[in-house]
Amino acid sequence: MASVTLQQMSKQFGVVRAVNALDIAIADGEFLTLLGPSGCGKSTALACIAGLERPSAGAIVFGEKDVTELAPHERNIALVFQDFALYPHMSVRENISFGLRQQRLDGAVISKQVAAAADMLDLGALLDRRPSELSGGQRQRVAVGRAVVRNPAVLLMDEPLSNLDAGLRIKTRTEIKRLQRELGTTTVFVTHDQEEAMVLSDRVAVMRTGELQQVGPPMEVYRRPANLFVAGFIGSPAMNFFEVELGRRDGRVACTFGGQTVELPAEAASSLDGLNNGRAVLGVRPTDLLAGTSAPLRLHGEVFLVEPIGPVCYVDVDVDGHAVKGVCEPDHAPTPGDRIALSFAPGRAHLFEPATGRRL
Amino acid sequence: MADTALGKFGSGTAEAAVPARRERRDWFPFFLSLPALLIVFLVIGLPLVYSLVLSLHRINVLTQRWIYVGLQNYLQILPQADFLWALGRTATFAVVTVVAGLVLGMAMALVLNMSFPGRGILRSVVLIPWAMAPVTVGVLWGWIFDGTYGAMNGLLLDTGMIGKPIHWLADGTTAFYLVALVYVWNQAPLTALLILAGLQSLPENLHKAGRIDGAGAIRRFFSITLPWLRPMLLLILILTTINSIMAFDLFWTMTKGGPGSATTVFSWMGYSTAFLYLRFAEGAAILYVLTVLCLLLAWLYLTLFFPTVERQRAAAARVDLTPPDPLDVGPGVAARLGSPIGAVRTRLMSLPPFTRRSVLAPRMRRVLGRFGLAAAVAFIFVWSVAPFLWLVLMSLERSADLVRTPPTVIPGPLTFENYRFVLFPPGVSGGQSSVEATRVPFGVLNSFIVAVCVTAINLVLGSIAGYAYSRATRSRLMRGTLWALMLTRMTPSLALILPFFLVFKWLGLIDTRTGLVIAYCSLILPLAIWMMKGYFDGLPPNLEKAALVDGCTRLQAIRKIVLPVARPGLVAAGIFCFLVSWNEFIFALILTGTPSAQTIPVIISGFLAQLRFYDYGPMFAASVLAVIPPVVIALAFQGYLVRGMLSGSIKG
Ligand SMILES: Nc1ncnc2c1ncn2[C@@H]1O[C@H](COP(=O)(O)OP(=O)(O)OP(=O)(O)O)[C@@H](O)[C@H]1O
Ligand SMILES: [Mg+2]
Repeated sequence: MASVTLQQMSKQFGVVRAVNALDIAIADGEFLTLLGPSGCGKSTALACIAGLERPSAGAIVFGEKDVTELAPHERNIALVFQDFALYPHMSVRENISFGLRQQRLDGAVISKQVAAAADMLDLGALLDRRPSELSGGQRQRVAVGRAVVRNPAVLLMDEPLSNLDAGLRIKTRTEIKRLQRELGTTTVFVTHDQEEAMVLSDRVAVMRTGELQQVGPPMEVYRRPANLFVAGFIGSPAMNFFEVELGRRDGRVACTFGGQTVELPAEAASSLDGLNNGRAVLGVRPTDLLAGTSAPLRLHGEVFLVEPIGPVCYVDVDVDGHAVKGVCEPDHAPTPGDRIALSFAPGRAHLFEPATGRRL
Repeated sequence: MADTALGKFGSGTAEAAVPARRERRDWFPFFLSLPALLIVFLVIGLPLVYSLVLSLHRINVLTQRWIYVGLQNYLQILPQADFLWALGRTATFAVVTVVAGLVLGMAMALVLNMSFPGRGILRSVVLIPWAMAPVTVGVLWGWIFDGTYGAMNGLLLDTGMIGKPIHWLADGTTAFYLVALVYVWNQAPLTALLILAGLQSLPENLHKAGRIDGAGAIRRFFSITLPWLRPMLLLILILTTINSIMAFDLFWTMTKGGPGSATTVFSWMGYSTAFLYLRFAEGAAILYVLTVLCLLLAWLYLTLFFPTVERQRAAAARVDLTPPDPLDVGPGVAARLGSPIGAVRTRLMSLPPFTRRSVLAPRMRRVLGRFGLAAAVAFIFVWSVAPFLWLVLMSLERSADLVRTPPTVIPGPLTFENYRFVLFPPGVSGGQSSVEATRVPFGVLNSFIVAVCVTAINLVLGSIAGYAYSRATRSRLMRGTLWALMLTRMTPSLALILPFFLVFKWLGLIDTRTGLVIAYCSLILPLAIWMMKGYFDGLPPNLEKAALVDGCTRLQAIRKIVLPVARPGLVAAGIFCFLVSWNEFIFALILTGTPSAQTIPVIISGFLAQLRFYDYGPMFAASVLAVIPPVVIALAFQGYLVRGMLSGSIKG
């Protein structure tokens, strides 16, 4: 078991800077997720932690020990690959025990360890099969088994669920969470699926083009996104954004948008100083924009699309020429053409500085 | 607006405070490829330099003195009419065989890609002509077109189509095109195999989409299949062109450059100058011109082919780094706000129902199509198998029956006597034993030993180097050496023989199996590296990474994971090495002289040189013995071959 600290870690591939000055401290036993769109450098960062890539700058520290220059097998890590990378010419048992055999452990120890891992992952019946004879979900379990069997100090997973179908993904997700709780292994998990990140993690680190955007517990990242990118990336459906004129009105912040104005309490923005000509971006999640309730802040518009998804119903509203998404009760859904009001609580509004994207 | 600024934040962090780690150069792949590179340099690079130096000298055969004459050898041969004629013939031969081979190969591949009963068998059977050694092919077809006893004359006489035998190979033009025909017979299966591999990688849905769009079979071939095959066709075109330019074995066995000089192509001219007239320096000059021609073609090939691969790779590597702009509310949606349902549809014109014009009724077309396919299958089967069966038949006839006049195709009584002659020579009496027949068992043994050694060496070196080249695509050093390797693959083997001959004589390696093994590495090693690189390109690199994480060193990861997983590729490459080595003729002809090292193709060519009628039976028996191992291997591992070739070539 070990904590993992990335100190200003960068990785350059020729002209591409895949990871830029990543600074994250992961506590012992923590489950941290690297989240970001495709190509943002998550896998590269993970490969650096694993020792498969050598950082171009910065350091990686496990516990107290600087491991930056160590080979993968000297770091006591395990890695679950996106394509599982099971050895096709070995049986499941041989796959799982390969790392132990590499360490020249005693045969009895190996079989005990394999049995424990197989038991944990319910692989007992599959031990003598080849990977080609397994289903996707079973392969995934073997890959996890191969990783945990060595009881590594740090467990790394690179999108281990993305090759599974939707139902299995949700089931396996729960399994992984349970397993990690039981083992208490420090885990770095890479995904581009925000739901996965929210469900699994103790903390989420959001990345974009190699740079860290925000680290924090899932709900904090969701509730208080640090910038426009995080706000737009986290949450589904994506947050509504409005370019608004800011003004002060009796100690409150007035946001003018098209012909409509909403007034936010002063706390909504920690500081409005230094904002050039008082413009900002106001963000409200569709799930916070409710039709047919009487929350204090309102936007009016004409409904042009109604999308029932079961528990709720999304309504797309034309607010002064901008499409805005909100939710309503499926039983009281409006019909296209209706004029309705979408209302939201002041605490659910996010204000961002347009030039830098920073949260205000 | 916000989107222009989004890229900036976070970049203000204290970057300068962290010193960059020094880039470490990764020499590991280079070390892996080093043994193969060294050998290629020794067996191809040095001989090329040697023969260049040789071509700048004049050599006194008696005193062995070398006199530097500069470019005089070149200046002497270049303006000669003979030389220019040979150049013209080589070009004609190349164009004719390449075009015919391509058309025939394409037709065979298209048929083999359809589904009909017995397709698996036909796919194996088409490989027979290609698996046969060119020398045996030459012996077989030379005999079929023999002016006195040949089967073609026999057939025509038996059916009464001609009154007296035609001397096919006595007429220059006929001889030239007959050699071309036989060459195509021998080489077209390779083209077919490569195209078939390309066809199998064609996504099925493309053709379905084409059918839905109403394109007929011919239209689909030109608009879908051909464009898909284009990179493959380019590769085939260049490879077959270079092979045709280098063709030699058939000329040796069928025409010896004659009649007159009607079939004296470049390679024959270089050979005869150097080894028949012993004018080494001039021969070297001629062969050097050939080398330069081939390298120019190779350069053309590499610049035509490599850049596209690079570009594809660059395109694949480019990932869109900009996430969807959160401020973009979708102008499309906004624009459509309020437009009534169905408005878009009214903007599309309604078209008249589409019917394809066709001269024939659908049922008629189906029947014709089925008939055509059956005819094509039958043709391919007969074309591939009949000559081979004829060879087997001749090996079972008594020598006396082979030289009946007038010739006939009706076989005489069958006997295993010929096989007894060549397999157990001392046990046969009756005054008809020949020296050449007694050598056959040694020839088979030598061929086998040499082929096994060559296969083992090239497989080991080739797979390790191929792995290194497959994984180190970013290193400039590795890319450069790979380029050089592929260039050497294009050197005509003929150009290497002269230096081998002279150097081996000096080293005492003439007429040894060791010498042959060394020489064959020059033919095979670049090919083995290329094939294995292609196979490794298709293996997920995560496999080795997983092994590294599991505690392997990089060498262990190769030994324990990569090589075992690559076994199918190793088998395919091994078959190739074995076939090329087993069938090789010209190196063995020149570098060996006695049964202690002569391989079976050389022994067969020895029968031809003696021309005694009672040797014909044993010669065909020896020929059958020579083609059985490669044919059996090709038939048994047909599937491996397609896969090995696919990965070895398509991926560039
Ligand atoms: N070996 C490499 N050589 C050069 N560039 C690379 C290499 N590996 C990754 N890159 C580049 O670095 C950037 C980050 O890649 P990375 O694989 O880390 O992204 P990712 O966040 O894991 O994306 P995905 O979600 O698609 O897996 C990309 O632009 C990629 O093209
Ligand atoms: Mg990735």
